Amino acid sequence: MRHRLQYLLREVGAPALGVLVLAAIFFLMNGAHPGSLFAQMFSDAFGGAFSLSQTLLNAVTILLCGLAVSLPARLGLINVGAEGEMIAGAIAGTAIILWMPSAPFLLLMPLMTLAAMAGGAIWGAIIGAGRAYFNVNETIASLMLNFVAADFLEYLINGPWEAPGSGNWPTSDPYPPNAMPPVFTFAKVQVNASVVLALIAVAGLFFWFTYTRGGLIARFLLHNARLARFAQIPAQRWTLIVMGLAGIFPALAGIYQSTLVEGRLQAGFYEGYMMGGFVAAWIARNDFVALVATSLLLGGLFSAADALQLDANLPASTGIVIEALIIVVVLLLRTPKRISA
Amino acid sequence: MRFKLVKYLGLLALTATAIAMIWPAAYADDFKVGYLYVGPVDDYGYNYAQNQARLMVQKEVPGVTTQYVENVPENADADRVMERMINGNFKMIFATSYGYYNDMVRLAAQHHEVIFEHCGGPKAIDPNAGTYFSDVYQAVYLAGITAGKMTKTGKLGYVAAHPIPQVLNNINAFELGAKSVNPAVKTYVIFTGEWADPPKESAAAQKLISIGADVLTDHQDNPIPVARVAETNHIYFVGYESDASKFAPKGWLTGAIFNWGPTEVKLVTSAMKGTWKPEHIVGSISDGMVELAPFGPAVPADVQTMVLNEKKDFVAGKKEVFAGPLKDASGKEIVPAGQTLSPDKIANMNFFLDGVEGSIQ
Amino acid sequence: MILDTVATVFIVSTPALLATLGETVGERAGVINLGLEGQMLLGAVGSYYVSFSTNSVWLGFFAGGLFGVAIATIFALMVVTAGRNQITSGLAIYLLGYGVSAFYGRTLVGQKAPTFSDFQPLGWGGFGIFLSHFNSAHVIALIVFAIVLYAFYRTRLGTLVKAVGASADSVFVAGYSVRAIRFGAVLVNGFLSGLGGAALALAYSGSWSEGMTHGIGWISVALVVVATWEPLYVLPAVLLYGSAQVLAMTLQVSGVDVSPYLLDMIPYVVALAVMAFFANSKRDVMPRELKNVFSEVGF
Repeated sequence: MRHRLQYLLREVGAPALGVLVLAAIFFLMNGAHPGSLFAQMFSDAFGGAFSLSQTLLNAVTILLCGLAVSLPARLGLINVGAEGEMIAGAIAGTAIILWMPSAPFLLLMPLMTLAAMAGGAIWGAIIGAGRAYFNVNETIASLMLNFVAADFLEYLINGPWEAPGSGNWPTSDPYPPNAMPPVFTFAKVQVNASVVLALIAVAGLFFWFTYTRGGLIARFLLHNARLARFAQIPAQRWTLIVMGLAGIFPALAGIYQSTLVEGRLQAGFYEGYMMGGFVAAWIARNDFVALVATSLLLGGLFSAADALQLDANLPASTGIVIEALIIVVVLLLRTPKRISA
Repeated sequence: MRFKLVKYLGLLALTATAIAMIWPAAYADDFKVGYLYVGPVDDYGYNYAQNQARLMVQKEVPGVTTQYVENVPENADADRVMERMINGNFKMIFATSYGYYNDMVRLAAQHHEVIFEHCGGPKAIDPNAGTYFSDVYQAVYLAGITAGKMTKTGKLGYVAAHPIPQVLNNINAFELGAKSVNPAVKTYVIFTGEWADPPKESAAAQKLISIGADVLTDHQDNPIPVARVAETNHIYFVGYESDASKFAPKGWLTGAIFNWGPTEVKLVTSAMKGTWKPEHIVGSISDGMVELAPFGPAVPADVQTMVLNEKKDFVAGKKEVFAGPLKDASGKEIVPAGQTLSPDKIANMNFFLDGVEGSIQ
Repeated sequence: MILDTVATVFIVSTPALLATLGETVGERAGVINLGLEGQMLLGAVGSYYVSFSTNSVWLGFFAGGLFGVAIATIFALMVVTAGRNQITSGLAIYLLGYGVSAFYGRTLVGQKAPTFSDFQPLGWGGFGIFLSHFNSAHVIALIVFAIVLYAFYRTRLGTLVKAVGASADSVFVAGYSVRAIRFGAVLVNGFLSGLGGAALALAYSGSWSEGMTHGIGWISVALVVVATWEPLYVLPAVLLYGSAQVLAMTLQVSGVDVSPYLLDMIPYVVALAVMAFFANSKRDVMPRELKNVFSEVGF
């Protein structure tokens, strides 16, 4: 018990305090009251139904992008391609919507979701195949592909998909109401369907890695590739499957962000989430359940950063500075996990 | 050892937090007006001009509190910021960039208790969303005359953001103005696809110089990159949105500048009185919503007089920019002689006129 | 006209040239820094601030490099001294550089600092006009490029950097400090990318605005791969990027309907093709120690 407490203190307490202290110093340096700002940020993130709804909206996207980092990391793969996967999902889903905009909700919404998942899976599988069969470094490749995806999105909304009558403003046609994923309201807090899907994904991955052979195989591949080969585990196929699976989650986030928040396909909807997901996954040490908590934390930070400008006249970049402080402090204060075979 | 450090850090943090645990003071019962800007308010361009109007509202309308959020991208972030404002009991919201229009329309339909004003949008929407813009292309036409008089190569360079109607109005007006005094002049256009992307703007300006342009102008949020490239290459610069002559002291000719302040003061005042109505307001050079910036030292006195005389015709309403005969870039007739382009066609412009070189897609 | 286009390509490429060169040196020593964009931004804001407050464009320019060194020091402490994960640390540096530059750069927006002015046109006809497109920063960039090439290929230090990237153990056995060499390479990267940011602010845009690099730092990470991790090939790789940018504009001005966004993809696609090609050829160009970075899972 005492051990456990000490572990928690070291793992969570020390970095949290470190961040608070550094952030307080940062605020003081800029003539702001750290205490009242922290309180303000907390209430902007979690105080009240409105703030909670905003935070949840951010958090679920961060969580889905975080899963795209955590899952491959279980095999020792570093995926920084969540942005490209978000875009791939949004493009694939939008393709379905533009193809049959007047289809009924029960057909259009599920089909759009499935298409987005497929788009993300293909995008991820391209990275995975590059790594597995062509020996192309998945980190650099996934990073490059983010920019390829972003440029392709710009091409689509400036060219073939540009809405007629939008006066050359680069967006697609607005999505029809039939394509809108359901949004539930609990005690005035809005929860959209992707929250449910994300939690199912977390539960599924947790189960898969804890109770099935899959988790064992992954640990094998991570810790002892040679032994895995000896045990005739098809490492290449695993790389492909895991990267493809990982692509599904940001893709879901991409199409839900586009439909529910933007209402149309346009540029920039993905900005900041890949980094948020990476930071959340890193802090959670790729633990799927802990990732839920860290995503909520970062989602709250994102909402607070929006509000800081209005309430405290601090620029939105304050949020980025704090995000950077979090990751620097966590990196330095927490002992790196040693890999043991 | 590490544990001790943790304790110290903890104590530090706790004391810091404890010392300053004060909730911010509640806002007074003012009429709260929120502003969204797509870039920084000090950009010496679009957002600078917008912020000048906000400062005027704050100064001249009693009982108003204005607040702004800068650097709001034209995507869901705009939506979020406006929702924050609505949730924070703002009574009126100015969405000042073209790309906020769709989000504003959606939110306005959901929140009838808040008055929305959008700068540049195509139409007002009942009961609570108005739009305002100005026929700034009149002043751009005048600046075009200046450019047409000053160019030696007969090539003008235009660095523009997006090929939306307002931008195309300006580009075509610039060419028409230049052509009215210099029939052979051509305007070369590069779209950067961003309201603010300094490296791309500089590259576009360099590119235009390399094909021989000797007067540059821009329709970006921030005129400084293009102004600087023009100045260091010893050629002329025509500004836009605000007086940026200090960034091109030698090459500055003139420019079209915005003056949103008086309009916004009227809008906010009527909103407070309850007399506000959703209107599509179009200002012009005759009501002062648009101005011609002071001339730079390079512009000879006779050119200045000539441009100012033309300006008088616009102010008196005796002259139209888009008056026939006009042909588009492919040679198709747009307006026959003796007629003018309808306001609706101007508001939805999607072509280059003859003499403008570039590609809209 | 052709000369003018060449000049434009080079001017467009200069900030990326310095940053790519820096990243190449770092990666050859076995340290990948994904925070290049952040380093450039800090260099840009630092140079603009110093140029503004001291009224000296030269002080500002070199201060940009020093700001790059400052943030690279944090990176070096994290990855070289403390041995933390390079990928995560790099992303942290990006966030830090972006956030801090945007936060403190607010007061510099719309301010006029002294910037480099282009050379006066001399006689020499078209060639004189060609030269007049450039300014001192471009010359410095070329000189720096030459110095780094010389140091990398012709000095003992350069050999050590290469050796550390190829096999840290053998350098250790030979009695050198692997950490010191890597620390130095990271700082060189910081200095060069800071200078790249300074070139952007003082020789190119002549202003500061938030996030003004607009992805040049990220593209530089790709260009290192295009250059097959050889400093010598950094110049052609960077010119490829510059040409794609200028080509997109040339096509636009001449009324050709080719999407500039598709052209923007070129550097990334070429980088992917280069990686795929060399990863399977006999001569693998990726520094071996760099590969270990990716197989080490320090989560």
